[in-house]
Amino acid sequence: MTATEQPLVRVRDLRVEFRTRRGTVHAVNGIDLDVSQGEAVGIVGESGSGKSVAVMTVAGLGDAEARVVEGSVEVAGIDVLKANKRTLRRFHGRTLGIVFQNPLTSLDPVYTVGDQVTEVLRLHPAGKTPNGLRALFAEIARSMNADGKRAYWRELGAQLLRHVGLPDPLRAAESYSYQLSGGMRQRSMIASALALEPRLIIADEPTTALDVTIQAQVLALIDGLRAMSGTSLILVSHDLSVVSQHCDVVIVMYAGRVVERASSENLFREARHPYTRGLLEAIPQFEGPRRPLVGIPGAPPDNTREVEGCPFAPRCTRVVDRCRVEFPEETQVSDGHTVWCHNPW
Amino acid sequence: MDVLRFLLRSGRGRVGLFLVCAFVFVAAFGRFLMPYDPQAPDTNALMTGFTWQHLLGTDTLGRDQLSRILQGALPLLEIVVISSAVGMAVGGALGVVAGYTKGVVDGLIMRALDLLLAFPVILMAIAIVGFFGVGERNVIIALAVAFVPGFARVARAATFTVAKQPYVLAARTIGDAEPAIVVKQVLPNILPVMLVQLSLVMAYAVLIEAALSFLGLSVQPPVETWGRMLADGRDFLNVQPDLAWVPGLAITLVILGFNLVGDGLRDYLDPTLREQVR
Repeated sequence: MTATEQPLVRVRDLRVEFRTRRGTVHAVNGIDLDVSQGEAVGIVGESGSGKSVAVMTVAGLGDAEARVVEGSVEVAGIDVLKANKRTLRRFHGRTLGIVFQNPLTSLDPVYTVGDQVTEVLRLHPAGKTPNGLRALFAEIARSMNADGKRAYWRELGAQLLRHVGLPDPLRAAESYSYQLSGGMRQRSMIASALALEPRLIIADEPTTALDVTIQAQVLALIDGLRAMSGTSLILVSHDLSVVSQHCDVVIVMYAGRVVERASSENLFREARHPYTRGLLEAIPQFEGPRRPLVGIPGAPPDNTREVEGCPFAPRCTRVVDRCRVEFPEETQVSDGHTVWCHNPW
Repeated sequence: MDVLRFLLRSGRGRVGLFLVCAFVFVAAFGRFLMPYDPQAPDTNALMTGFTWQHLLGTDTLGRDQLSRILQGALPLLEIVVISSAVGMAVGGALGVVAGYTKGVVDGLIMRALDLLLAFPVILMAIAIVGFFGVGERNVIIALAVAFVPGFARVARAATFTVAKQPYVLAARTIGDAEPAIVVKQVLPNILPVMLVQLSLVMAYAVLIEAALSFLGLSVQPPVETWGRMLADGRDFLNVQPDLAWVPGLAITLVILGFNLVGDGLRDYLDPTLREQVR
């Protein structure tokens, strides 16, 4: 990315809170995020680190209870936090595609899969489809009777499903979601998310609910489709190895803050933050000398309290006095590799 | 049609479906099948008991019981179907709005309906009929009003569940508008639960209509109702018990039919049970 190029996603100092009965939950405590066109950014962190809340806010789909306290989110020139409903709907349909964690419940049980993947086309008649399919058929469709239209949509649905590699797409298009396997459903969700060639895909733990073998297939599918269309990707996961395989840049989040940002290779080779190190050491290695698997002792902090200093300090092996009083400034360790730590490795 | 096939697979479902269909058939075509004028007295045949001339006997005025039963089915069906349909439409709409918007709107709607719910259905029906006057139309209104809170509660609870489903969020992520999501995602997904409630309410409606008829508050003569036949027969239980138990049995069978169909629908909606029966 050159310095003059405007990033596709630009998040500045985002803070999100939840008001709950237990008190205010500080889910996201000031994160910055840039994603340029065509780039794949991975966000890792354990449950409750705020990664899902952060990306859902970026998508303009924050919970009713979530309150954005501060910060700005700009995606493809749209101020997501201030945009009106019309703009947001257009943005959701045409600029953004989202793939969720649970393909079992992401498809509506009362519609056929074909109807669902083509729904986004019906909602946004001006959007364009991959391979110019829509344009090809649009003229013909206009002059069709009801039967012809139905056949047209069925064919279009099948084409979209073929695009994501579903076997026997015509039959899949006429199936209901419960008749498909988890992997097939997730592929259908991807077909729907990508139907209008969005500029950004947000995948929130897209493979968590799938078998390991299917996981690899689904991620490879997203990679492949991205390579064709130059779409950017934000991939949220708690699996560091998955993220590093599929992303250019990895962001490590802890307790609602970004603690380290690096390219995938750098992160694996020379992680600087003690938390990132801890995560890497918790991954089993099959090569090299045997070593015991190391966990990170303790648990993430209670995010109903505002933390002074570094939230990781209580669990950190390299903690120094300053850690408990102030959150560290951003430190650039090499080109494109930054860490937020007073005492990095 | 999957539902019908499912109902026909179990014995209870078959019986329920048969009873409901028989009731609808009698209501629709009863007036063509009546052997006598249900209002015509025959002083030569008073309280005959079951005979070949009068299959279900005659009453104290010599009116043919079978003809009266056949005639009474239609107003009963009208009252049951229209009142529960209106109750479902109004209650369902209120419940969906309450469940989808939550917050203040939810509170207002549900507290208002709680007020209605505080009165026993039969008492409220009597009050409404007493206020607006007797007759079929007012009974329909009374029952519909009485059924609204129940439908609203069921719809609201179901809407809560559906609104939390990822496919609703998914619809939002492709840029669908909220009202469209209610129509396209929420309504079809709460429909099955509403149908179960509908079948139970219809059974209840039969019972309440019979009770109101018994009290003389429903459809008025010359049109017969089963509840009034039951009331008429009550005085002759020692002499001619079939004057009371025949209409009573008719009421029971219709209620049983609706309940069995409702049970079947509920089993159909529980995927684990569905698989077992298959």
